Amino acid sequence: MNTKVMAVKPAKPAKPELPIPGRLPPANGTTILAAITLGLIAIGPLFLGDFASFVGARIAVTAIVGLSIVVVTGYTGQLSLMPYTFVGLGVFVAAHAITSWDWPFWFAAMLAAALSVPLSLLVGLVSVRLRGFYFAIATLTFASAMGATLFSWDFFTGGQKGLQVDRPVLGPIDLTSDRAFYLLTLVTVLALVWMVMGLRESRIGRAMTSVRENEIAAATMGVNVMKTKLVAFVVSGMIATVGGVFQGMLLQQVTRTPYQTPFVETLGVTLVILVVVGGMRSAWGPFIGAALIYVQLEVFRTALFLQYFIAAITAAAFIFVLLKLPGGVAGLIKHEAAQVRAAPLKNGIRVAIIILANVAVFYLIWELSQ
Amino acid sequence: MPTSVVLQIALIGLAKSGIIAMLAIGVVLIYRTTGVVNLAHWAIGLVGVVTYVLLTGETGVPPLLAAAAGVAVSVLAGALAQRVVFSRIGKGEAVTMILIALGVGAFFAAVAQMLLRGQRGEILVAPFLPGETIDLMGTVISASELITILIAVGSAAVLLPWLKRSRSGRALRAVAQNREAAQLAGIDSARYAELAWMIGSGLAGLALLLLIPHSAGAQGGVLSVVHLVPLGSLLLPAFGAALVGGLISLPAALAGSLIFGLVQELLILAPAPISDERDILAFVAITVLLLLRTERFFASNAELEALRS
Repeated sequence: MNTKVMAVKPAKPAKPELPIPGRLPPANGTTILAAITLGLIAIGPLFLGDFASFVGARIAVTAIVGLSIVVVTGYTGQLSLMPYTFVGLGVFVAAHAITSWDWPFWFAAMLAAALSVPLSLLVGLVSVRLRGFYFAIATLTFASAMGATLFSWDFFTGGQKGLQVDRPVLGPIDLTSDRAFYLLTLVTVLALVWMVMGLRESRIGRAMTSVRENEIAAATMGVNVMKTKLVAFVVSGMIATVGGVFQGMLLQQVTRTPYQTPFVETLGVTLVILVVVGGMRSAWGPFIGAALIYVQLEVFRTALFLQYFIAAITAAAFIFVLLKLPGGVAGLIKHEAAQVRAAPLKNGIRVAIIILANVAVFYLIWELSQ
Repeated sequence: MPTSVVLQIALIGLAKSGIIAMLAIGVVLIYRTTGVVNLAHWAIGLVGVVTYVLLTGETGVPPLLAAAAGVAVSVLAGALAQRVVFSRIGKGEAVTMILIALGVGAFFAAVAQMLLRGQRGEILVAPFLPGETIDLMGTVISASELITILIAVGSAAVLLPWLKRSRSGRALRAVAQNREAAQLAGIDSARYAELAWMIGSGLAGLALLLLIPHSAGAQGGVLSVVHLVPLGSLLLPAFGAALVGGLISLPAALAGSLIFGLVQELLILAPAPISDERDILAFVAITVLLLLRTERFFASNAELEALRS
């Protein structure tokens, strides 16, 4: 006889409408240990020097832009291939607002986010009716078209020479060094991760998930499918544009080339790949994906062959994740963490061996590449 | 405007149309038989070009032989992609399918760059077609353009009747129209899906071989960073052309490639604002085609349902 009884979940209390994430995880030994480890990893680059801080900031900025993919693709199921068009908007708005007009960076970020709305509405209103690959191709087309118009205007992009973006100085706090800037991006990305986690719990976030799972069913339940898709696209555009402002401050000297054909499409695809590998349905996914890939790319910066090898491996991992591991690495970590909690000794040793093996392989490649 | 200039521009446009048409035929063939929107098309062709570059550059293999080897490698890459990846995708979400196609494209592009040992900048490629120009009543035509047009027309002229009449061609169309019914009628749909991939990929390799080894005229061609990234300037027009036929009709896709090659090139002769914004016009055209949902005009509802599932 089947002894399993269908567990009836108690009705959850009504969630607040504002995007506020759920409660924090219980403070048991495992979570405290995990929090300390993550904290040490997060502040690690500060002790490793300016280069590591720059890489850390790059990972954080990429994670910010990747969050836009989580909202539009992970939550809502629409594949947008134009995130870097929004990044470009943010980059050049930052260049004008921060450097030319001497605005503080959060004003510049707000202006950039506001300016992204007309652009995403333009694209969204045209293409939100399109499904699946039609939407993807439409965003690809818009990315190319923007590269040929907006990003070819010299007064906006500074022509071939490009423009300069200053890093912020807040009164006595100087954020121009790589270490200080890394801390700023880290705080920003954590805040945005928190907001995107909250978005999923909110009313509109649940509407997004229902649209992803089944549009017709969602419409039957009273979800306005078109509006939900449009909101997702606008929110994702705003996040990517804010990411662009930070990208500008990270690079300090910006040109238009990455936002024009052929690079804008490729960058978009690369970003989608690393977000999916990290886990596109988790707000931590972009951070994990960016960390996994950028640490490798920066460590093997001089070995071009290895760079493309990593790109090939990453693409293969991406296909594997899509076929076999829909949660990505974030989902895998969650699963393993649950296993460790269930049987700390047995599964803990297994996980430790896996982590050590990975570190060993990385170290071996590192030694061979020197 | 002298007639010879118009004729010259028209020939350049026709050559471009031919290359777009070869890519578009592959896109349509693969979509119809397997339901995969092949965003990896460009990268699969690139693998063939890189084979050609490596063979002509280092071992001194005759260019024509190397070109044949390049096409063969493209065919192999396409078959591999179908067998290893695309045949394993069950009836799933459309988005997963596109993502996987993008991943396969990124994979082949990375492999191509790896084979070139990560050289950056521009790589000179030896040509395999004669570089002479022909003077035809005052109009100067380059031989490679003429050959490109002939190969494109030739492959369409072979492929369309073959699909219509031959046993394999009819089986291929049966699979395209109704996979399950074809299977019940004793057609091995997996085998024919692979055949469609092989034909499409071979055409992609051929198209890129005609494009890149002759991009710089008689001296050969230049393989630059622009060519090493899989999406962008040529895959989008190819999709535009295929969309004219709703990714379903081959003749309409061929007509579409004339729009995105010949008409776009002839617009150079148009007055100033139009001639400067030819690229933008192409993007607008693609967006309009997407919104029109052109597949409605070329297939019944039942066929569309079969494709989507």
